[in-house]
Amino acid sequence: MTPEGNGKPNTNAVEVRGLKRSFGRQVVLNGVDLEVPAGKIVTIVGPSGCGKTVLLKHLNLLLRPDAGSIIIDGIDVTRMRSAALNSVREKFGMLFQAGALFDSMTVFENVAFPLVEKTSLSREQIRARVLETLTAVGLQGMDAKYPSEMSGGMQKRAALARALVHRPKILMLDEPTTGLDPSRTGAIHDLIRQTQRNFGLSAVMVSHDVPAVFRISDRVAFMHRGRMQLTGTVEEVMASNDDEFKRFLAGRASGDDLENNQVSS
Amino acid sequence: MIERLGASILDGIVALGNFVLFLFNSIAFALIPPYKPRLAVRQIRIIGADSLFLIVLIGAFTGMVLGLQGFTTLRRFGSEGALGTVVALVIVRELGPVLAALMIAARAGSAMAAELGAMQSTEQVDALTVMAINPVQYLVSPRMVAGIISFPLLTTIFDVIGIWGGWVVGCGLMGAPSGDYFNGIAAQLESHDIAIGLYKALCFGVIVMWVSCYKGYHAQRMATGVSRATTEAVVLSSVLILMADYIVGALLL
Amino acid sequence: MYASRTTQFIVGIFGILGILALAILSFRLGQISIFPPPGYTLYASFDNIAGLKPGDEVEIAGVHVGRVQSIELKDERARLAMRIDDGVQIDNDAIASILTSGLIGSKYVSIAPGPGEKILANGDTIRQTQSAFVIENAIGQLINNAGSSSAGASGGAGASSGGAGDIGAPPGTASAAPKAAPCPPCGTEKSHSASTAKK
Ligand SMILES: Nc1ncnc2c1ncn2[C@@H]1O[C@H](COP(=O)(O)OP(=O)(O)OP(=O)(O)O)[C@@H](O)[C@H]1O
Ligand SMILES: [Mg+2]
Repeated sequence: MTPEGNGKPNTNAVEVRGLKRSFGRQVVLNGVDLEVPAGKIVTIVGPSGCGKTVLLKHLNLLLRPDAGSIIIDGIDVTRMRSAALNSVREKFGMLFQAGALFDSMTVFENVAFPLVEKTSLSREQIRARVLETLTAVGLQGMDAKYPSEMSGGMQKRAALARALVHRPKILMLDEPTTGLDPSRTGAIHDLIRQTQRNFGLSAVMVSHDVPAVFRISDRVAFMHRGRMQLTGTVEEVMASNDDEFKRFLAGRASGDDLENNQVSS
Repeated sequence: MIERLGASILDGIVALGNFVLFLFNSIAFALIPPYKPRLAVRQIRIIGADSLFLIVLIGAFTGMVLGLQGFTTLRRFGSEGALGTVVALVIVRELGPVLAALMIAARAGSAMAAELGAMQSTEQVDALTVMAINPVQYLVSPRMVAGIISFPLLTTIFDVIGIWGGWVVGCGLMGAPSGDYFNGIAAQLESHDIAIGLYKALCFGVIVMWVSCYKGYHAQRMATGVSRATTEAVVLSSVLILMADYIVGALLL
Repeated sequence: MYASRTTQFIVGIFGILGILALAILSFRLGQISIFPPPGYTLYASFDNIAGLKPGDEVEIAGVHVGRVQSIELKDERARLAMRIDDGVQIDNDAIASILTSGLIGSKYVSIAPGPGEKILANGDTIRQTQSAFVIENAIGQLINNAGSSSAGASGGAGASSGGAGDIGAPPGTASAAPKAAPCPPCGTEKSHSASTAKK
């Protein structure tokens, strides 16, 4: 649970130590420690509102921590200026919880965007790659639609396609399967696993699809009260006797869970 | 109490500094690569080309009003021959740049603030940031460039239409001497006057884009935040346009 | 998000329209010239040009023949350079006067041809000039003329605010001026101001 002295920092794609962040008086992150080993999928689970999205936004420095450090590929980026951060961010593929598709662009343009902006691929190569990715997320034939013309689940999948299309080294997925039907959820899980295997990606994923998501996870972190209550491999976590986690799995949130926002420092 | 006051003064200074920095950034990022000419072209269409009809309409009526009022006033002095000069100088130096800028602020500035505000509240701006794309460079700088290009063009179109509008009413309807109308303009309208009009248009273009983008970019992430940003963009743009009009006019005379 | 072909086309049209408008405004309406306009240059010196500006018109018998190019102060007098259209012939006895169209209208230069034989060429000077009508001077003159009774056309030269040398023309020549330019009273010429006084 506590990060043991790590002699080989390069084996972690993402490493977070003692991360703290409050909004006004509300303490959201209260000393989070997390390691994402290179080439692994780490899934963060936890009750709604416990700060999972806030944590992800700290990993890509959209938000800055009050204390603690964030290390990406062995580089401490916590206090890096945004110009210097760009070279780090080019490794990221981020799926926002609400999609964050560019609503003035078609689905095709959205998915092509990272390729157009950040690679020197030719038009045909981009086109082929985009259509292939759209097919993989089950949106074949939808490329000319605008985000506002699609259902929530379709938007989510388009956003996932945009996060995957340029094969980033580090994937950050905020609830990739929320709002999808069960069969689609399974297909998306397979896609994430497959992409991750094929390209040797590292991934941090936030998900509420417990326990379905454990099938594709290498490690699981259970977030509670602004900390990682429990981390380990899927087997370790499932075998743990942690009360909170058991209650979480069983779908019986304690009063504490619902009030976790009020955790004070 | 005094502490509170001090804090709010400090906040005000910080906000002002942010506001000015935003202008510097948006211009600086337009000058350093990667350049986004195609984004600027798209914005020129939205700000400039799509405003064309409105500008022609407003320009024509402004000229017609000036033709009518100018004629009835000048006739009292027996100087109807000076109508062209009056209409041209008033439009080219003052009304053209100011009215065109106010119209574009209301039309394109508000739309821009709303669009950027919506992009901010749906995390599209964050999405750009995570993709290692500077959102100011991607969203604001092309608009700034487009404003700097579009405003002078729209203003000269306004000027020409306005001068003709004044001629139609002053000479066509009211009977001012048509030859004098254009001879007066030819004699009195100098490159200096046209330059003043263009400088003003340029300043107003920067002001409208700066204010509108700033307000939209810093909108609170909710519907009322976006609507407030839109209103503030138009109001602040208009106020700054009139203030800058006086300052530029006084400096260049 | 990027500019489609239609957008590029529309923006192109918009740019052309804008540039065209600027060209019309500058060259068609404002008649601002980058190159010196065709024609030839004549000079004329005045005691008082009273608000005449470069770009103002030069006329003969009410017909546009050129424009004032530049104005400079030389020997305490205003020296005008006028660009006269090619083909317009002005003789060496012509008189240049500065007139006003309307009461507060713009100033212009009117040239009245004289009986001279020699045609002025590029760089020559029109020697006979009448300065601008300045209302204060005219009133002063009126009072003066009334005071010196009906001395008539031979009234004291001191009454003229134009000063010596401004008008060296014989009366016959000067009488051409009112004919060529039917205008409000023109100040400095004594025979002319006498006729004004009679009205
Ligand atoms: N910009 C912000 N300003 C103030 N408070 C915020 C902000 N962003 C998040 N919070 C607070 O932080 C807490 C955690 O929010 P977060 O979005 O991380 O939850 P979450 O774990 O992602 O929940 P969910 O599973 O429902 O997405 C919430 O209580 C929220 O009110
Ligand atoms: Mg969340």
